Amino acid sequence: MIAPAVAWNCAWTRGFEPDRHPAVLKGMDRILDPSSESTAPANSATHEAETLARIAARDRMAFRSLYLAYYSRLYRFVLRIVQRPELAEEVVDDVMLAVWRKAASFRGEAVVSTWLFGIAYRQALKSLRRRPREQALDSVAEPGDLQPGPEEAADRGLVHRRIRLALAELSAEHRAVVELTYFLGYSCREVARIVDCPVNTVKTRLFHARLRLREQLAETSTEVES
Amino acid sequence: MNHEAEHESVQLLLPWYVNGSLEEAEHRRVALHIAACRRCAAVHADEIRLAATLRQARESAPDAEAAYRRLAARLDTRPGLHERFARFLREIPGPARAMLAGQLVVIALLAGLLLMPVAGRDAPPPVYRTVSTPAQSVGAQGTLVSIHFRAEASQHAVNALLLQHRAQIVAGPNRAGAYVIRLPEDSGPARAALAASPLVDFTGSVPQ
Repeated sequence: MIAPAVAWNCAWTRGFEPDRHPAVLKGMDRILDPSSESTAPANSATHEAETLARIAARDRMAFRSLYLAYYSRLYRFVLRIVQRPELAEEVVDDVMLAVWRKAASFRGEAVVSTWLFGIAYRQALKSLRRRPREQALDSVAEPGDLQPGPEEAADRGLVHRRIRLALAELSAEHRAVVELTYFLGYSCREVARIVDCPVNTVKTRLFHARLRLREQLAETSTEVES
Repeated sequence: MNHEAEHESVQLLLPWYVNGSLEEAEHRRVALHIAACRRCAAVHADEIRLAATLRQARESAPDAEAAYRRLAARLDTRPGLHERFARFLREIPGPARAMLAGQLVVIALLAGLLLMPVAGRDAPPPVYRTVSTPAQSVGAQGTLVSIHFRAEASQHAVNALLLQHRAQIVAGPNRAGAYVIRLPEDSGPARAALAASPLVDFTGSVPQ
């Protein structure tokens, strides 16, 4: 029974606006991607909104800085959903072109990062609907690949591959929520904004995704620990 | 909130507790709960393990600078009508695209049907023929000739002779049994042939 808990949780998320909680955002930025420019002070929500305003005025330097700040995160997010590198690059290009052409439509209702990932999420799902029958490389692995011996299990690449296969078993919507939470460090509220669904739906999606991943990765988790 | 609901609430929040994105009050509530609840503490430990495991599958990304250079070339180009239409088509899911294609075909067929009469507007009006309609028309510019057929000439033979020389009866018979026929413009040979025919008694000129 998840419903009562969900109803209660709705109360605390209802009034939360990331823009109004710089401390939370600051903490989140640290988690988001330590290797990216997200930790730089200049990359605050306000600064990004200004950057977007400059992009709307056709400032190429502003666009370049936003692009470089977000490219890797957007690419990994989209790749997690579409699972095809060439398609992921195409989708990210489409997203950034949309930003270049429609930056003026950003109304500041969400932080720039949430807005961007929201566009990327919709574009990625759209691209999957266009080409639903093409299989991702990961999902066509031979069954034998999933049965490593004890020595092979130590191989990091193989563990990586098994995790990717486990993630590939989830739906695109579930993979998106997993990526946003575990890899990009977004809050529940922001994930809900990005995927445009209620907070409770995000919680239950992730709850079920966690159950499936735990089942599939039980062996891998043990290997990692040891 | 009863105990079970509290456990569920905490467990639903664990991924965000672990990634550090909970609000301070919420974070404190979850921390207090898992400190006092073995069951949720175990789920929390599982959650930490899962997060650590998943982090190993972090994907690598292509070089952002190179990707930017590739995209920068496209920034100033407005998508042409063709590209926009192609993009529009690409964004339509497969079944809907098939339906759209079908509708376009139907529209094209209907448009073709509508345009067809327009295309034939300059064509001559259709000719309605009855049994009495002459097989051919000589026109008003032909030569008028009076002709008298032999009494033994059958109607069938006379008809065949007139058709052969593109002649048309325009008057007659008169009391003497003569007809006036019209011959085409170049009537010289035809008139001579008629005069020589065994079916004809005589021919003569008619003042025009």
